[in-house]
Amino acid sequence: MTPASRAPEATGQVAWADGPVPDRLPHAVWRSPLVEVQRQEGLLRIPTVAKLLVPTDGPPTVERRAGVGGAELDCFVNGPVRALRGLLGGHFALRGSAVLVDDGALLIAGNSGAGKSALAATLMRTGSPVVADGYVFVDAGAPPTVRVTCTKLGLWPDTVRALGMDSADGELVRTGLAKRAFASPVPPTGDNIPVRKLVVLSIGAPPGGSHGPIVEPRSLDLPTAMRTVAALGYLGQAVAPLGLSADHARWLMSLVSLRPVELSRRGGGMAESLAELARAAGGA
Amino acid sequence: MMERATTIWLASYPKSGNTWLRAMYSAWSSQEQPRLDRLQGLPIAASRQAFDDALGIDSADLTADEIDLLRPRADEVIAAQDRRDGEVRLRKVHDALLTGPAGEPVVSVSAARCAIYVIRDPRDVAASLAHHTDRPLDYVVDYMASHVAAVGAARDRLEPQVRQRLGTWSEHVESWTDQDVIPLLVVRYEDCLRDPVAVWSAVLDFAGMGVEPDRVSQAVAACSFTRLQDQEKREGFNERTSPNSLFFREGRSGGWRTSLSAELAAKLESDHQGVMQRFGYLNGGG
Repeated sequence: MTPASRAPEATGQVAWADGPVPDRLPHAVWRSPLVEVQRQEGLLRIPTVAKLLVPTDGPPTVERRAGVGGAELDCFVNGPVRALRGLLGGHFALRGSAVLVDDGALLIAGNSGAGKSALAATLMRTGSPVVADGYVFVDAGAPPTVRVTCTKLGLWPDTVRALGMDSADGELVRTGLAKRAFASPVPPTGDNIPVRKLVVLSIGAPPGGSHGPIVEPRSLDLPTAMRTVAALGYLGQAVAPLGLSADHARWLMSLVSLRPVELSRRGGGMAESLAELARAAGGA
Repeated sequence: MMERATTIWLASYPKSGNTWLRAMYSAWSSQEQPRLDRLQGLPIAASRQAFDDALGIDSADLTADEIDLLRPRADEVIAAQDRRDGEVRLRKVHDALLTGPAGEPVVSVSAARCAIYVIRDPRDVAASLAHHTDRPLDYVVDYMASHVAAVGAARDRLEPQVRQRLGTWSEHVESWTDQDVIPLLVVRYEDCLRDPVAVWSAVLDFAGMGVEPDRVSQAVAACSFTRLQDQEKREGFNERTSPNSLFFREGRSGGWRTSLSAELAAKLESDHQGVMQRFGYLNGGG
């Protein structure tokens, strides 16, 4: 970790300031159509929302499009902007959610749409406090630890229905999206929470022939685990250009030392498969 | 652009033979029996995962229109990586070639080497789509006449694929076959069934990938419908929507004659008369 770096904020919202933001970073070491990074600074361009200049320290500067409100910006400032700022400071995030179970964190990783927040919500409903959602900051160690960054879960209406929750209890995340943020009824205690388990969610092939298992657990061998976890890290392509490869390799090794288990969802109804996932995650 | 671009769009309305041709491509490129679970290695244009990975943002935070605006950029990132790797890739696309909010086609034109458009008799498409989606035939026939038909468009959940606007079946066909920004080869599914070696050779030739007759024959043999169906029965297939219905179900032409009522067949013929005539589906050519 870079000595001067500052850890991402804990559960508080990231503050920002309105101001002009350049179209490009002059000394970018890595560029994609939406993101650019250079030492100590990043730029995020969301064409319909805002350009956001993200320093390692200090509040991001936001040049928003006409009519874009604060709530709209919160979604990005507390999501990808927080992840980008963390990355610039050598704090790596995994795309996923985390909840507190027993004496440590269960880290739920997976691609968008794999059901990470839905599984976290299932566990939240049985009393597990939410530790993070969207991007999970994990610090390397034995065991690795996870920072408490977001105690709300973003849930889509189908999950809300399947879990018997009341949509009125959640706040709309953005105009134009049906996703709502639901606060964890029980707040987590402590901050750097040791990670006990890492599960990776995926959507598998419905079984051939008649009904088979809805959820299929599979231990990942080391090369597969490395590849899978690396692919789920936030903005892995920018790690090497930022000179963070050694730190990132330690981070990755720390995560795969948890012996991640892939839970492949193979059909079934939403409520049924979430219950099965929760059982499998508990036993993973 | 032709010599540098690396993406070959394999475009079709759903249930028109796209997956079969992708299997053929897998068999041809690997020179092995294709594995259905590895066809995903060539991400569909609407893959949420591919979009997120390419752009470094979570598409779950974006509206469908915002995603449409950014999809060509994601395609270009993927194509740039392929160019660095020296690879030409076939990518499945079910979107109609409509413009997004900024007036740009929803898939990248600059990333495209060319496009192969697979067309199938809409009466067989209707029968297959009804089975695949577990919907009544009359619903599917209406869906195929809907200007706002789309897949991945549910607002109440996050799907693995982003929204893909289809339009009517006729609009879908015309959006690809009447455009002039991407070089196009139209392949009739029925011709592919009749003479797969000839059709696949034509595809390879058009895409500039080189035709080796033995290799083509091996790929075609590896992708016989029976072989793919057997593999699906043994191992499953993640593009199947129900555990009780096979994705590779019949794979023949003219099956609509036993599954569609005369009334529904007549409605499809009326709704899509112009395009059906143009592609030989109303004059005994299907």
